[in-house]
Amino acid sequence: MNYEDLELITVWSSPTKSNLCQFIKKNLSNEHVLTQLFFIDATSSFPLNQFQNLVPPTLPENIKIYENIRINTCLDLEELSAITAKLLQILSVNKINAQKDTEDAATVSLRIILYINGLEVMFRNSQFKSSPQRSHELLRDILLKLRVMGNDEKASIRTLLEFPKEQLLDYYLIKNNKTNVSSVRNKRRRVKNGDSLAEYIWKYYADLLLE
Amino acid sequence: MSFGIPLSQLIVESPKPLSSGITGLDEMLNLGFQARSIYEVFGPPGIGKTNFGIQLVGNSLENIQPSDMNDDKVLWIETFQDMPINLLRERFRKRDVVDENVKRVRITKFGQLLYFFQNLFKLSQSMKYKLIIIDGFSQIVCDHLCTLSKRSGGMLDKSIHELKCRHLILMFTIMTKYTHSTGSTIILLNDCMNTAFQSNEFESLEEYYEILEDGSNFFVNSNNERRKNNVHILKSALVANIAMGSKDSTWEVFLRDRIGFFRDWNEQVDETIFVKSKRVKMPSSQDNEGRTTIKEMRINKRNFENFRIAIVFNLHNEDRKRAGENWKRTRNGDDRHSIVKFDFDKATGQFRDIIDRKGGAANIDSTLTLSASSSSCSQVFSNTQSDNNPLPNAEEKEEIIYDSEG
Repeated sequence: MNYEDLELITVWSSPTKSNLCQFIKKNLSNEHVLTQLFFIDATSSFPLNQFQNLVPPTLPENIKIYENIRINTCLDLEELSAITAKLLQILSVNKINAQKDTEDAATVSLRIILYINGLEVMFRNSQFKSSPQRSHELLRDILLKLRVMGNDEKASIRTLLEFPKEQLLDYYLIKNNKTNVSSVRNKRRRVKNGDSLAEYIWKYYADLLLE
Repeated sequence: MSFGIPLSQLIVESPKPLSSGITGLDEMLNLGFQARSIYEVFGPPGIGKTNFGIQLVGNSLENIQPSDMNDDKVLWIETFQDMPINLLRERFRKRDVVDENVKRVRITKFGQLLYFFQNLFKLSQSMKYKLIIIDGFSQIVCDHLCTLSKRSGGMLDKSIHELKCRHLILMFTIMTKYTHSTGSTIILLNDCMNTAFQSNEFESLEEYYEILEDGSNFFVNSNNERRKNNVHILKSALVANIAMGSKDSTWEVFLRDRIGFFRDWNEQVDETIFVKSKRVKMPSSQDNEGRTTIKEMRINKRNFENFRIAIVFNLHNEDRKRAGENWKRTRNGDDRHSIVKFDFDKATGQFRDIIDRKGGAANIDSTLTLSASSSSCSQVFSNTQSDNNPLPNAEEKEEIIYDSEG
């Protein structure tokens, strides 16, 4: 999966560590384009060992890759909101710099991949801290901001949201054409529990779901 | 202009993993207990969890450099049992280092622990603990759940399970904040419970189990008509308590690894006992009255002493992700978890690897069938020829299955 294939917001369902490492290596090793990965996480799940095996940090050509991956721990939506605000600032500064240097052909364009894992943990923690209404507001605000940022032609940012497969039951039911078979059961489940956060985002905010 | 920690900096700054003293276990944990992580160690009473905690404290103190003595302190949180500090003093010669760097605090309530970690996080810039051990964390959680259940006049299983998940998420969140801000390691020493939780989502061996009505809610029995076996399932007391349910994965994401300590049988038996002999009537075409033969049954005397195994449960199972929705727990080796034999070395007073007499430190004998997924251990004793076996007391083949559920 290349950067160009990503949509504004992409949901990635339970990627394996090796797939994730391959994805990062592929997209960050392009010499002509500066790509930065912001890995936002609630549970320190960056596959460090696998990545070190795949991209040895001692090799000089890999130093830049390691510099361009930035790890952030984020445990609630307030923090995530602050991160998106900072990202917006980075993109704005880049835009201004790009306008200044329009005549300079050697300017390397910047692309940002925002990888968020553990959004459900952040959402739940926000519900604890404030209220369900406030956490919904924050979630909507963050996702809309990310879409708006991605839509700007001059600012290149793509968002990847990782969710466990178990939280995307609806997607797999539709995919396997099991909607008719288990429709009554499915309706009951939904009435009882509602959509999971992953399903809600997949249905209303994401453009693509990767398996 | 940027934010977050560059990966290169994270690699350089992250401290050396804390060695457990058990080489096999260190290998499974990628050189030891990692910084910025929470681990759970669980096992039955008397298996040596507290001793293991003391060993970790000792190993941590050995690595302390005089220059950073103020930054690398160890905190031991006692719950319902005192810290055996004498053991540490016996093992560690420099007593002043122990007294200066090992701090103790007693906490017996869930709310108290939550408040304590909130304050610890606020003070994290001035006071850092390299290692925090909570001895009996599961007991605090179980007490808390029982109190909540009693207060509400007997909550429904589902409600209490959801409450448990929410409260554990709250606790682990603040712990994670602390570990990430200070680069410390938290180790939870938990009890284990023997019960029969069944998940509705995946087909499992456990769906055939029922709890024995002995009043303890501890032992389970197989009610599968095809396999009448005596079954014990050992799970972490954080999972198996009054609030069992299917959403434990919501808080398990905070744990880097879950390690189970269990006793095992030494297969290298050197004593064989003849148990019984019986005359069996065999039908014969030549002889209408039948023939009698003598069948001798032998069992090996098993040695329970000084033999332990550690299972590192893969909480974030890659195999499971790959298998997708058709994933099922099987008894084949595909989803096995890492297992290491270890033992208490009386000479040094520490846990060490067992070197297998057959060669290979962590090879369990072929008579042991090991299969696991993520959170429990069951030991199934099956007599494979029980239908034809005329000797009810004799065990011809015993099978041990380590099984679990995510």
